[in-house]
Amino acid sequence: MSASTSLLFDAPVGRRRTFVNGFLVVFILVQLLLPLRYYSGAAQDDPRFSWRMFADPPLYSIEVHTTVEQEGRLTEKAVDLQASLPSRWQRTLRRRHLPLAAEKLMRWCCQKDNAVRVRLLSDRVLDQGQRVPKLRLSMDCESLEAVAIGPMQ
Amino acid sequence: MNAWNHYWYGPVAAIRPYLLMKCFLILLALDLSAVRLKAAYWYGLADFNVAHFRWLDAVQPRLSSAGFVAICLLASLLAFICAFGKVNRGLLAILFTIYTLTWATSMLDLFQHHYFLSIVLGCLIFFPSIHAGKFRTSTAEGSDGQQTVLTSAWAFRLLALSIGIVYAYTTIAKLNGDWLSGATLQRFVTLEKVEPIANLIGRVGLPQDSVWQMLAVGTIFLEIPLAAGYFLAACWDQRPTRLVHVPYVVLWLMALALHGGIEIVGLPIGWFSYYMIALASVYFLSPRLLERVARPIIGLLAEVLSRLQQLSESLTGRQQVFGLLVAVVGLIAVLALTGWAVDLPGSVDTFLLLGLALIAWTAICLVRGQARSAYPVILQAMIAGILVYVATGTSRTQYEYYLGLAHEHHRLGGYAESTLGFEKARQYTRGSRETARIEYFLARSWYARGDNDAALRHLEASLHHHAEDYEAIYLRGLARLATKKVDLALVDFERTLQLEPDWPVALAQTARLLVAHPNPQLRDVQRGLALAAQADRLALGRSIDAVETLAIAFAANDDSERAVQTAERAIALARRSGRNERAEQILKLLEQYKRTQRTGSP
Repeated sequence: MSASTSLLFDAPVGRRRTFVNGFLVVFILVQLLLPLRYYSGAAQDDPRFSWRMFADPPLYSIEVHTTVEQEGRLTEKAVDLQASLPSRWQRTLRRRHLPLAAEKLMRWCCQKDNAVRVRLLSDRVLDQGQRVPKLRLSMDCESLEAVAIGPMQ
Repeated sequence: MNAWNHYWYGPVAAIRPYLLMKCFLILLALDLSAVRLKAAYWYGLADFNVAHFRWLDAVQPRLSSAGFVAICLLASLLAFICAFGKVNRGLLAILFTIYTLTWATSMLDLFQHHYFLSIVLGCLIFFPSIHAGKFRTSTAEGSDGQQTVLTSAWAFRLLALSIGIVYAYTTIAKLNGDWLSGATLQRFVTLEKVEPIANLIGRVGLPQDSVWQMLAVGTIFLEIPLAAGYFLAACWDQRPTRLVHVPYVVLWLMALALHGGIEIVGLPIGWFSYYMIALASVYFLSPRLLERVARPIIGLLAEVLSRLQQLSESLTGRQQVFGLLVAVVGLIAVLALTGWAVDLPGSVDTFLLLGLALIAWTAICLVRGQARSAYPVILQAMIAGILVYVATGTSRTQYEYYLGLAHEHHRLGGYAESTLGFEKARQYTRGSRETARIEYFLARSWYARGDNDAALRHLEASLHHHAEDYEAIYLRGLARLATKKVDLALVDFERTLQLEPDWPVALAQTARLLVAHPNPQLRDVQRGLALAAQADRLALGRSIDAVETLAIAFAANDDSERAVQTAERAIALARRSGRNERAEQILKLLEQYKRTQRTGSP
C-alpha cells in the first residue's frame, strides 16, 4: 500500500493530533493502572475494575446489632438481615468486603429501627468454616459517623 | 514517533469500525431490553442502595425500580437510534453516560463486563463517522485485486488495545493454584455441562477428573494469544496479504472456542460472550469477508437513507412544516403506544420523555432551517420504540420482572405488593405449569395476608393445572387449618408427605397437628414425635420451626425434661438469627414446660 493511499477520514493533525495523543496516553495509563489497585494490595478485598472475572471471591459473614431505647432502657438486639434486607444485597455483602456498603447498611439500620447505636461485625469465612475478624464498626445514629472498633484489614 | 503514529493513525479497513459500531449498539440495545431490565426490580427495594463510588452515592437521588427501568430503556432506545443513523457524537456521549449509570448507580450489579462495555462506548464516541453510502469513495487494492475502503481510526485501535489489556489482566487473574487446578471452574460449572469433554478425555486414557484442570489451563492458553492479537489487531490492514490472514483467522477461531465454550458450559455472565465474539469477528476476519457479509444490509440501509433524503428534499416550505408535524404526531403515538405496551414501571414516561426531547430537537432544526435532518431521526426513534417492545416481549422481560419483584416483596413481608406483582406476572404466563405456579404464589400471598378464602380459590386454580403440586397441597392444608377444617387439613398434609416425604416443613406441620388434633381418635402423639424428630434431623437442626415442633412433641409425650432442652435450643437459634420476637414466643412455651417439670402438671 502506498503512502499516498486516500483515506475516508484522515488522521488528526496539528493541535488536534497533540490532544488525541494526550488522550491516548491518559486512557491507556488509567486502564493499565486501575487494576493494579487490587494487585498492589491497596484494595485487596475489592476486585472491582481488576478484571478478575472468574476469580472466586472470599466469603464474609455479616452481623448487625442495634441499640434501641425501650421503656427508658437501652437494649441491644441482633438485626434479622435475612428477613429485612433484599437477598441480592445480602449476597453482595457476603461476597465483597466493601466498607462503603457496610457504612450504608449501618445508616439504614439506624433509620429502620430508630436506633441509638449500631454495631457491625464482619468476619472473613475461610474454607473450613473458621472466621477471621475483618471489620468491627460502631455508628452513633445521631452523627451517622462510623468508627472502627476492631480489625480493619 | 513514527512507530507511534503508524500504530494509531495508520489505515484501517473502514468496514471494521463501521460494523463494530452497528453490531455493538444493536447488541447493547437488545441486552438492555432483554436481560438487564429483568433485574430492575432489585433497585430501590427496602430503600437500600450503595453506589459504586462514594461521590456518586452522595449526589445521586434515591434509586427506585422505575428510575432504573427508565435509564435502561433510555439507553436501549438511544443505542438503537445511534445504530440506525449517522454517527452523532453528542448522542453517543449521552448514551455512554446513561449506560455507565446503569451499573455505577448500584453495587447490586458487580459484573465487570458492564464496566468493559462502558469502555467500548467511550471509544465509540471518537469513531470516524462512516456513512453507509460512502463505502466506495476511497479504496486501496488488496493482494487479490479487490478494493477495500480505508480510513484512519485511532479510537478503533484504542479499543483493540483496551480489549487486549482486559484479556491480559483476566489471564493474570487466573494464574493461581485454585484456578490452575480447576477448583474455581468446578464451583461455577456443573459436571453435566462438561460431560462430553470428560468422556472424550476418558477415551484417550486420561482420568476424567482432569477435565477441570484442562479447561482451566486451556482458557489461559486461549487468552494469551488473544491479548497479543488485539494489541496488533487492525495493523494488518496496512499489509493485507494472504499470509497475514491465517494467524488472524486462527485468533478468531480461538475467540470463538473460548467464548462459545463459556456459553456451552453455561457460565452466568449475561451476553458478554456474544459481545466478545462480535468484537473478535470485526477485528480478526478479513475486511473482504466482512464487506461481503454486510453488503446486503449496508446496501439496504444506504438505499433507505438516500430515499428518505430525497423525499425530505422534495418537500417545499409549507409541506416541510406539515410533513414534520405529521412525523412528530406519528412519533408520539408510536412511542406512547410502545411505552404502554412495554408495561414496566416508568416505561410510558421514558418513551414520552424521549418523544418530547425529539420534538424540541425538531423545533430547533426547523428554526435553523435544517428541517430535513429531523426526518431520519424521527423514523429511527419510532423503529427503536417498536424494537424495544419486541425485545422485551420476546425475552419475557415483564414476566421475570414482576415475578422477581413479587417474590422479593413476599420475602420482605410486603404481601400487598407481592399480590400485585404476581397478578401482573400472571398476565404474561405461558403454559399450564407456569399458570399453576403463579396461582400458587398468589394463594401464598393471600394466605400471608390472612385471606384464606382467596388463598383457597387460587389454590384450586393452581391444582386444576397441576394436581400433584405438593407445595400447593400443603398450603391448602394450612388454609384449611386456618378455617378450622382440621380433618381436611390433615388429609392435605398426609398427601404432601406422600409426594415429598423428606420435606422438613411439612413434616413439622403434620407433627404439630398430630400431637394437638382436637379429635382424640386422630391424635397421634407418638407419630407426631417421630415426624418432628425427622423434620429436625432433615433440617440439620437449623430450622426454628422444626426445633420448636420437636419441643411441643416432647411435651405432648410427657417428656418435659427434653421439651425444656429443645425449647432452649429453639430460643438460641431464633436469637442467633435475629428473630427476637420469635424467641419471645418460644420463651413462653419454655416457661410453661419448666412449670410442668416442677409441678408435674401442665
